[in-house]
Amino acid sequence: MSSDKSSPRSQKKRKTKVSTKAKARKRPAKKQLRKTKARFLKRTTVIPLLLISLVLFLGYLFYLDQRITERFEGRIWQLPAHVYARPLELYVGKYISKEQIMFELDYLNYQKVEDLPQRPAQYRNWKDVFEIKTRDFIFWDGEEDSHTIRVTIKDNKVTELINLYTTQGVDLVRFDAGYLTGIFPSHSQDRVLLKLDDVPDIFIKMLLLIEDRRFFTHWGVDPLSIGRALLVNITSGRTVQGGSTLTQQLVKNLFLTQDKTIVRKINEAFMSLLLELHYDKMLILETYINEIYLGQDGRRAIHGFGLASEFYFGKALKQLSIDEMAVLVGIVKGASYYNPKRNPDHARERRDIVLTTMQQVELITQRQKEKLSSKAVMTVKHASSGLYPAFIDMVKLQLQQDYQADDLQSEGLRVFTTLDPYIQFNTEQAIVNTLPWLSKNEELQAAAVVVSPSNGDVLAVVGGRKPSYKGFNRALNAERQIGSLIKPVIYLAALQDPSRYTLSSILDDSEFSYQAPGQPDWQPQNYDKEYHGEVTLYEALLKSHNIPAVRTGIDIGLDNVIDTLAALGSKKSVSALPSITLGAIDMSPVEVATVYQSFSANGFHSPLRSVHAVLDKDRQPLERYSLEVDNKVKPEAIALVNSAMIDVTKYGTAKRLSDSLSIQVAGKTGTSDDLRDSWFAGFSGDVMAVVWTGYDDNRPTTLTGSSGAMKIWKNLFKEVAYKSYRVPEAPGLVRSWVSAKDGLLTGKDCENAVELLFIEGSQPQQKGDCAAGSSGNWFLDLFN
Amino acid sequence: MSHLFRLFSSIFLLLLLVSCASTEKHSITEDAAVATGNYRYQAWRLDNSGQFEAINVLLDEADLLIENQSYDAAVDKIERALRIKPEYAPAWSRLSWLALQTDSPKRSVQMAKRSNSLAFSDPELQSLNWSFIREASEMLNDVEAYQRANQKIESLNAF
Repeated sequence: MSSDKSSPRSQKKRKTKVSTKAKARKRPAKKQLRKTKARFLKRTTVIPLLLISLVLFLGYLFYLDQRITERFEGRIWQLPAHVYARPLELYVGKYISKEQIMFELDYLNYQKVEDLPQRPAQYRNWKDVFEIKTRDFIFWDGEEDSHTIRVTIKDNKVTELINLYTTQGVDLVRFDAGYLTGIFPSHSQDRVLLKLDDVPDIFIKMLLLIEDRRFFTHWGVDPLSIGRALLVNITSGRTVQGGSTLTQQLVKNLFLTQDKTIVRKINEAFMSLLLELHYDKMLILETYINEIYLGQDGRRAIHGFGLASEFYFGKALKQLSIDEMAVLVGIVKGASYYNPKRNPDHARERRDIVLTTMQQVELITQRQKEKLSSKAVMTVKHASSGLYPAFIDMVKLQLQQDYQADDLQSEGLRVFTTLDPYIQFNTEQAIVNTLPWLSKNEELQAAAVVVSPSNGDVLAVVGGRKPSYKGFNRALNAERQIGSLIKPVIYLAALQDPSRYTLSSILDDSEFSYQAPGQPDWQPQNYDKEYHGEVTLYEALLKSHNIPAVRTGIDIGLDNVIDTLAALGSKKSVSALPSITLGAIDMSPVEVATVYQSFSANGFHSPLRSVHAVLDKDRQPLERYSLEVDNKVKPEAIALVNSAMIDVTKYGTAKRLSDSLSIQVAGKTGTSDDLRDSWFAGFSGDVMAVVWTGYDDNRPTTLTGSSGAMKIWKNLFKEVAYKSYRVPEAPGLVRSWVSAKDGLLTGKDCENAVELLFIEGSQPQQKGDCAAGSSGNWFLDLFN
Repeated sequence: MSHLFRLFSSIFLLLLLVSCASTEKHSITEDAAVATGNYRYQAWRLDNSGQFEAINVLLDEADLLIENQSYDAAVDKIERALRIKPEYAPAWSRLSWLALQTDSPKRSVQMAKRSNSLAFSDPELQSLNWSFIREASEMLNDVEAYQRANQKIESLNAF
């Protein structure tokens, strides 16, 4: 504009130029001097500066390069150990309720469908019939293929198990093992590593289409993409598109922070170029697939498509449908905003964009796109990690014997445990639902340990009234007086010598005082504060009288009692004090379970184990924890005690159990001084459990063993125990009818008659008033 | 050499037992068992296979693994069988034999004792278990236990 040229400012500029030129003409020598000076400066400072900068730059590049190669040549990730529950196995004859099978399928995130299950992890159900397609799974002893089966359940038993396609009978089906939790490093990143071969081709095409179309042609940075993103962002006035390549995203995740600074961007670009210089495109893609952050599960960060696929859909990536894959690819843009669990609408919108893009480049047809877009985003309601902390403590305890904590947190181990999710759930429910009935005081605590009698497998552990609370684990660490739970141990020690003790032996239940030098007299009392005179050993155990147990313990020797406790599997160091005969021994529920497992297995002790096997990250076996048995007590003597413990649950301190349970069980109540601890330990033919209730500060409760812990135990066994416990038949054992009062032989129909078990040759010989063949009525006998 | 000796003597003993075992319990013919020279527990296969065929399947798989000398894997299969039917004495006996093959004589004794505690009505299996105990006692240099086992075997054989 002409007016502009004549403005005062432009005139001033012109004037200045003119004036400068004039000066230059006037002083050529000065200019020459300055030029010489500049040349000199350039030679002496600028060039060395440039050289120094170049060296520094190259050094910096070298440093970046080192960072990249160090990470890539070594272990890229710390992989947490993944912990699994025991797998469900089905076969004809297995005891299982419909409720349990529903629970197990739900726990494993199987999807209920209306039609025949076509894909793994689907099932349909009507009445007593389940049609299921299981997942394939790699166990420590090999791979289990997917099965398509029909299971019929009647009267809590599998009555039919057939292959759905061939209609042939199937002998045994093992389901996949449910994921329990991870043992994480401090950053809590979790991932399931995938090889590129495990990733479906369509998924790779979809991912590259959305995230980096020129991945196979660029060198780590794509100027075209950056330019396009810049244009789109400028025209829309906000950041709507990123220009980062997959390589840049990977570099950012692996090496850099999430800061949006120019320095970070420059580093990212250089490192991307270096990464591409060093490594193959396919390795970079595989690493990206395993690294990308895709969500959060509490403290656990979900990384990589392998884990994300399992976390969101309960399936392996290769088992996903195209729409499910599209959801996962959509999450990359924003793991929180497009989280399909929390924001299914956002996830669906993003999925549809992915599908539309796919259709535009003809990866799918228009019809396919429409069909896939019409589907809802269905995720699995995954049991969040971090459940069952008390059981996991036990797993860690066992693994600590063979593994460093660091290995557990970083080597990607796969740990197969013994946890039975259904029994664990019911143990938790029994505690949570029963405690409010026992006391209104919410400080009353409980703990439980459930074990498989035959092999010592720990099936469930609950460490407190809030089972998912990760604090003090009472099942493992609360050592409390066991009270009368010691009595079966004392009587077992005595009955191992049948020449001195039998179930019909008469014990003295009268006032008793124990004198030790320099100690005040110790005068134990019965719970009812009364003395019962002469009682049989059988009755003393049934009614849990204290004084006969004390007298017997002292008679056979306290060391003998301690040795028997050890023979049953206890590793507890116990002092030979007379009070141990009343259970003044501090033990945790797990320690008690160790001892009672031996009773439940008829004297064959198996150390409790919570882990079956460990695989490495490549699913190769590392460690197996085999079944162990050890027998240090006479099985015949155990049979006598167990037969009496059956009667404890029918006629003794736990007699209320027989009203509630339809199967035969054996057990013993335990109550410590002043009702501070309430215990119950008992077993059926298939489950053994120990339950404790009490206060953490050891204050008295109002509960005995039968009014407290036993109620929890009963509610648990109503749900999970199917098989009656029976004393095994064995040579050398005989049964005789005796009077429970005086221990003499008696007739079956006589008063107080009870059929007791004896080690052959030790049964009583003396007949009582109402002897065998006698009715007990002399007048009637005259006529008989 | 001692391994081979143990293996052959065990095979001989088992074949002897298989040939002596009651035909009612067999699910294959004695001839077939002998002819294949197998060292399997088919003499003790469960007859009510409709209900517990799962156990037979697992023990058959264990036998195949044993043939390939994959003893640990065979133990896994047998332990699975025992989770299904813990009172199945022949499976415990099989674990006892496997423990001998892996030089674990103490374990072998315990497994054999467990088997015997469940096999009171099966003198043949008891005799086999005592033979394992005898062999384990020899490995442990426990002369007294060896002789006791010998006496047991003799009395069971007489029975």
